[in-house]
This record gives sequence, C-alpha cells and structure tokens, in this order.
Amino acid sequence: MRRSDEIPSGETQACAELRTANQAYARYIRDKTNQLLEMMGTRTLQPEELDDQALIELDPIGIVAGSFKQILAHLNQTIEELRQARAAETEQREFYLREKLKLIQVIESLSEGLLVLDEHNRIVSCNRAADEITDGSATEMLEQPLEALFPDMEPFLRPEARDMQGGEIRHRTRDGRERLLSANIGRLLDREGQCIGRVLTFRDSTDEKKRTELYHRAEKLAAIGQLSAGVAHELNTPLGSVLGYARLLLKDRTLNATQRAWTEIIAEQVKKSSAIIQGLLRFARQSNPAQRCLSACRLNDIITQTLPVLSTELSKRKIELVSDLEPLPAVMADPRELEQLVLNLTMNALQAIGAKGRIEVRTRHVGSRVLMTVEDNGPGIPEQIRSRIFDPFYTTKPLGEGTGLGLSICSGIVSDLGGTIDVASREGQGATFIVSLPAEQV
Amino acid sequence: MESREIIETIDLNILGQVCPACLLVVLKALNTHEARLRGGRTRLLVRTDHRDSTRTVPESARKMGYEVEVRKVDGFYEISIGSKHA
Repeated sequence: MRRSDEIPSGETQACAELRTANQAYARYIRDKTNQLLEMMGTRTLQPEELDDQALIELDPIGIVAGSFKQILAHLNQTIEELRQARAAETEQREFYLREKLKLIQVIESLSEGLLVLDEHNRIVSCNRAADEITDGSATEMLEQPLEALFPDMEPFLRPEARDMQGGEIRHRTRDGRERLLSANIGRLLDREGQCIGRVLTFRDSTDEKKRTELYHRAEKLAAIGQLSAGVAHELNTPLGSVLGYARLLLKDRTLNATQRAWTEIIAEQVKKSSAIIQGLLRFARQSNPAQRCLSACRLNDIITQTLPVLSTELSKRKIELVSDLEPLPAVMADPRELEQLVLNLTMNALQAIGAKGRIEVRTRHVGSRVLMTVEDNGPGIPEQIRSRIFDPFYTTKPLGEGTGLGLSICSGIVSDLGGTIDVASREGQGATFIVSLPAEQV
Repeated sequence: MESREIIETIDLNILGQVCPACLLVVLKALNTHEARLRGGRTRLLVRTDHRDSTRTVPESARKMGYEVEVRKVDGFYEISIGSKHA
C-alpha cells in the first residue's frame, strides 16, 4: 500500500520537467529584460534582488513594452509637430516671397528713382526709374560708391550726416546735359538701431524748377501789368489837359515862332506819351475789354489790308516785304487786334533788319490750327534774351526809341485767343515768329 | 497655450529601492497613469534615495515626452514628472 504523501514517480518526473521549463522561461524573461534595461542605460537585474517568482509577477517586459509604446507615441507626435512646423514654415516662406515680389513691383513702379546703399555707401540696388533718370548709369554703378554717380551727395554720406529731405543735387547726363535732381536720403537701421545702409530717392526736378521760375515771372509780370495800368489810367487825364491847353495855345495868334514851335513839341510829345499809355492799357487788357468784338476773321484779308500801311517805311529803306498766303479757315478774333498783331510783328522785323533786308509773311492751315509766320533775315535774337522778348518793357532798342510793349501786346492778344506765339532764331541768320491760332470750327 | 493648474499629485515612494527595480516601478506607474499625466493636470512625484534613479528615470520619462524636474530634499530626491504642455 502507498503512503498518502507519497508522489508517484511519474508525477514527480512531470513536476520536475515543469519546474525546469519554468526556470527556462524565467531565465529567458530575465535575459530579455536585462537586454532592454541595458538599452535604457541602467544596470541588469540581480537574482538576489528579484527572484524568478517576483520577476514574473512584476512583468518587466510588459512594463518596458508599455514604455516603448509611449516613446513611439511621443515620437509620432514629435514627427507630426515637425511636419506641421515645416508646413507653417513653407507657408511663411511663400508669404514672404509673395510680399517681397509685391514690394519689388511697387519699387519698380515708382516714378521716383530709388537707390539702396550698403553701410559703406556703395550702391547695392536700384529701380527702373533710377536708371531712366540717370540714363542707365545707376545700374552700371552697382557696387560703386554713390559719390561716383552723384558727387554732390558726399556731404550727406558722412557718418555724422543726418537724413535729408528735398535736397537739390546736380547730375550731368551722358550727353552732357545738366539735370537738377530733388533727393531724399535716409538711414536704414537694423533692430538694434545700428545703421546698415541708406536709401536714396530722387526725381528730375529740372522742368519743374523751370515751370516754377516761369510761374513766378508771370506773377511778377501780372503785378507790373496791373500797376502800369493803374498809373497809365491816372496819367491819361492830366495828359489830356496838357494836350488841350497846348492846342489852345497854338490857336493864340500872339505867339511868336519860337513859342509856337515849342508848343508844337509839347503837343507832339504828349501824343507820343498817350500812345505809350494806350499800349500799356492794351497790354494790361484794361483799355476797353467790353469793346472787343469777336467775329470770324479772314487772317489773309487782314494781312493784305495791313501790310500797305508800312509801304512808306519800306520805301525809305531797301527792305523787301513778301507774303505767301495759303487759303485759310476763319479765326474767331477781334479784327482790330489781329491788325495790331500783324503790324507789330512786321514792324518788329522791320526794326530788327535796319536798312536792308527781306521780310516774308506766310500763312498755313495745319489741322485745326491757323499758322502765321513772320520771318526776317536780320541779325537774329541772341539765345540768352529769347525767353524775355515777350516781357513788357523789355527792349533792345536804345533808350527812348522803344517801349518794349509791341511783342508783349502780341503775346497778350494771341493767348487771349487761345493761341501760342513762339520764336525761332539763330544769331546772325534772322528770326521767325510763329503764331498759331485755333481755326473756327465749321 | 493655455496654462492649466496642477490639481492632483500621485505620490510614488521608492525610498530604499535600487536600480533597476526603481526604474521599472516608475515606468509601471507612468504606464498606469498615462492618460491622467498626459492630461496636464496631474503629476507623478517620485521620492527616491537612489542616486542612479535621478539619471535613469528622467532620461526614460523625457524619451516618452514628459517634462521632468529633479530636486534634492533633505536626504532624498524628488522627481516630478508631468505633461510638457501643462
């Protein structure tokens, strides 16, 4: 009979096999756990710290697997954040590129020239307008100091120089023309406020300057005109009295010959003074504006009627007066003013020629304009006075021989009719006055 | 990002334990409480007197994406582990 605590030999063997298998599994788990712990930078498990049973209960592989799962999730999250950051960066880069392109287009579309200088005042970029204003010199001067392009800028580029607004600099173009430029210069600063270069903007103000000068001169002339008209008007009455009394005296039979001669001189000089005053008033357009009577005038007829007036004067000298008149449409004007225009221009030519020469009066129909030219072969008009010949009181004649009003009256008449008057002349080769008037619309 | 107040601390006392058991115990706690810790309002506060743990625990926790702070308190160390975006 077998004792109750006695284990059959077959079962003992099975238990032993199971124990061996368990030990093998525990060893396997321990080895793998140690490998993982080594990977994690810590020391391996010691059997005295953790026996096989405790090891299996702790489930170290499960713990490490859970940790790796978290590491993997974190890695994926980091990758996703990186991807998003990259996408945001790409978007931002595209935004900046778009803005940069926009800025370039804005700079290129500016009518003002723009130059960017580096910290050594060398030109690093320029826009289209800068090239146009400088005839392409701006592009050629890239990487060169600004003074090479604009020597006048040197004082504004010194380290202590402040920003400048509306400065004037002179620039000589390739063909030798001097242009006046209006320029602004400002420092470019970095985030710390350090100067990293300058930006220069400029425009060609040559024509604007000329226009301003003309405007000021026109204003001055207008003021002179008004003042003259006032003075002339005030002088008219006393002169009328002087002339009246001179005429009365001439009727006095008790005057001797000398007294009569002197009185005649007084009357003659008063008439001359009166003529000057009439000219002044006409120039100032205050003589009798209400009496101006506009009608459809035939300029050729007016010329034909007016020129014979000069025949006496012409016959005294050896001056040939010819006319070349083409059929013209009518112009709306006061015929008396047109007569004055023709007479003044022809008289002017006649006085310029002196004793011998030729005057030619021509008319042409060009588009919607009627042109009249009065050409002489006199000494011509020097260039330096050409711009002033239409100013009132400007004369080249000796003192007392001219009032300087003839051409300014012509200019006034023509501009009142909506026309233009110009002069072309070469010194020593005569002068040509060109009057352009609007033709009447049929 | 909105800053959330820490309103819960899970204490893990492993005083007297040495590596690698320390590390495995902390990793187990991190696995168990992952959702709460990631939520940003809970932190795991580990107390250990084993110096190696102040290296191995933070290294592993940071790899998992946690924010870790270590400070010495009297005779032991406190390792505070929580979400990065708290």
